[in-house]
Amino acid sequence: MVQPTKTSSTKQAAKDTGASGKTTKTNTLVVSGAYMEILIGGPYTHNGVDQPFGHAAIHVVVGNKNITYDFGRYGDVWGPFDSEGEAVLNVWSNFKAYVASEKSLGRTTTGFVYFLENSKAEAVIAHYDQLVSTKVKIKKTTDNYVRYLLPGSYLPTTNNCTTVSLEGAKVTGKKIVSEPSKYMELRGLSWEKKIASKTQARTADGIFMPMDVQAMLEGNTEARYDKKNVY
Amino acid sequence: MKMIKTKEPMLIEGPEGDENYYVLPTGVTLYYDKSFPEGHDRYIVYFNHKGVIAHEEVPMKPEYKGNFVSPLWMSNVDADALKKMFKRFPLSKEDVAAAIKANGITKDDLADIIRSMPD
Repeated sequence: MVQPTKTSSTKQAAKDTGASGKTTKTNTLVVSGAYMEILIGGPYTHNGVDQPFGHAAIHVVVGNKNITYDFGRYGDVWGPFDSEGEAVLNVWSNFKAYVASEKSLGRTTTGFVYFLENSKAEAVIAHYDQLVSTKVKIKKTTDNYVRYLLPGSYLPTTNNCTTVSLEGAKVTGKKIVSEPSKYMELRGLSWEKKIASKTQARTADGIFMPMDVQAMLEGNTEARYDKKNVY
Repeated sequence: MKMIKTKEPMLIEGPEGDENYYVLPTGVTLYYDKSFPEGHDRYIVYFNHKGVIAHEEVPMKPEYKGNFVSPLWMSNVDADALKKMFKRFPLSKEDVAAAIKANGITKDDLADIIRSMPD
């Protein structure tokens, strides 16, 4: 993982104040800047079964906070194809553990990094804090994450891993969602699920498939990502 | 349906998210059901039972559209889990020795156990 770095003004200040005729020692202070990283877990094959759907999550770093929000069907499920379920949000405090759990599947996760002002990154965290404050209950606490049961339901086109991740990302004011209709190919869905999805409601953005979001972020010229990590 | 037989005990989380762990013993046949794009797999375990089970009905609500699955989470017994278990059930050397003695485990049995452990 590559962290954005900033060189503080310490270096320049040290140079400016150096005594004439003497070698001035300069110290470079490396500070991690704030950023958010939209994580797209790619297709993979596990237990001999192809998993083409993909998964989305959002990782936010600011100050000493390093949090990953991972929404999905981690509880009861129902409906055709188990497509609906309890709305469950895993809030990871250990990013390495999140990535390791994805890598254990043989899955490649691509992280689209956007450098942010601290206040913007804090706003993303505040967005999810607000969501968590509405929790029905905590389902599980581990060393690496807390699993929250949220009100409402996981819905495949309007309240899934992608839409929940994008809602947080949009708080930054960056135009993350750009020309979504151009990228809505429903990548990863079988033909019968594509047909089924046509009867489902959509968000205002309309985009809900992780791999469609990946294509959109790759093609986005209005708010280009600053860095791309591949895990 | 693909079937696998466990070669290690697994920990099962309680349905109410309590702090208790329940153990699925080694040698249980799991019937692979499906995988989710979130990254987890779902398995079915079959039980035989004779008698009466205290229970309540699980209603099939209209919003379930004829399908409802309420899975439990299962996890491997990793080093972190072991540490937690030992914290909850602190055993001294004397406790371990007493348990071994009470269960008729011989020195040879212990040697076998140690030999079977990874280096």
